[in-house]
Amino acid sequence: MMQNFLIAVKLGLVGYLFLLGLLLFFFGFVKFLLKVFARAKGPRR
Amino acid sequence: MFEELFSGIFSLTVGNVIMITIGCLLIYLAIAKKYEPALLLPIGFGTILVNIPLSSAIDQLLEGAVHKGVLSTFFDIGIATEIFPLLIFIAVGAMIDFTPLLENPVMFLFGAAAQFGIFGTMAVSTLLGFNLKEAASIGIIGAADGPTSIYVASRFARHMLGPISVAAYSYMSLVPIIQPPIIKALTTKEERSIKMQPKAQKIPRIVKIIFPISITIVASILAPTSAALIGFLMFGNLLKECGVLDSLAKSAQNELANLVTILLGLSIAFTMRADKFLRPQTLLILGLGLVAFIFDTAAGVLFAKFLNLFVGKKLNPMLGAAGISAFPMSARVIHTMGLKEDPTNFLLMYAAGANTAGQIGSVLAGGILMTLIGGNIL
Repeated sequence: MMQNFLIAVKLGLVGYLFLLGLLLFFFGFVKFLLKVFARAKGPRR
Repeated sequence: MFEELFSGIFSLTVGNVIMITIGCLLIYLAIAKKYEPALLLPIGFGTILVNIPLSSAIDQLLEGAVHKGVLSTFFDIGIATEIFPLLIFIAVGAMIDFTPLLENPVMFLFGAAAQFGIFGTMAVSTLLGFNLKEAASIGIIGAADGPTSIYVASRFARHMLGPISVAAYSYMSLVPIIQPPIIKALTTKEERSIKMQPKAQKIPRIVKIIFPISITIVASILAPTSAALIGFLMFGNLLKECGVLDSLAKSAQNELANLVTILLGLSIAFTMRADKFLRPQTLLILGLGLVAFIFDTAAGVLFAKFLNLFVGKKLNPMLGAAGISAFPMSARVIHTMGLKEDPTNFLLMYAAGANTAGQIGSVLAGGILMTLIGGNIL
């Protein structure tokens, strides 16, 4: 039981941090998309 | 002849009676309390059907041969193959509007943070004697996302599908009762009153089209087990956003969603038989599901407070709690709580953004769990 718990804690930590990293990446990606396409639609100089 | 005519009555057990009562209770909650009626009513009615002694709705051994029941067949076709929850994802994707999230991409972080309950509850469950796969299936109740819970449980712990589904859908409908006291306990009045300025940023259509495609590609490459889950969700959303398939999008939102919901509910009821459901384990699962929701809410709020240590313009920490996937219930709860503290503080769009991020986060969390526990990484 304790061994399962330790594995679960390890996997939980890895999984949670991986998820945070993935959504952090999406945050940056959407920012990038908005920057690119908002600029494309802006007035030309 | 007399015995054959009344065989149903003679075969009735206490377990059957209790389960039929539970079925009636689920129907009551669905109709009178409006607790996720679309799912709880079919589950409740199906529970009655499968607990009728010698019911033809489930498999029966007649003259040495197995006669398949309709609910067993639904289960084999729709749940064992994972088709029903995936079809529901197309419908959910077609209903979701990611605009509030795209307007406030920082809400992505809350959609991740508030999934802590999944991983935390998984660890706690192992301490109560569940193996890793069972623990992961219990933890996924914290996804606050019925189809993901069903998808993961159908792969890892099919024998626990009944209580897991009931817990997931019941707690989702109880979000207005579960979340506010936790949020209040973890925040001050000043924090709850932090005003969020509305954004007037217009999201170009091309971004709304690129978004579901790119999320599918990136998420599926990084967590291949989540490809079907995130792919079907984003496919539904692409139907809606592409602008040339309105008829299909409407079908996904209405006909597909309604039809599959009925079949999904009835299929889940197949696992609500007395011999499978009436175990001490069931109470543990229901209790742990609540723990998962509490962990989720607390982690979302605490993460938002942590983030506020580093950002100049403070975020209302209640938004962190909207990072769970119970859409749109959680967003509404946060919006209402914000209005109670300050009637001029409209949090709805931010909360909806966090809530839709939670949809993506919960699906990805399910995929990550399946990758980690399923043996791809271990």
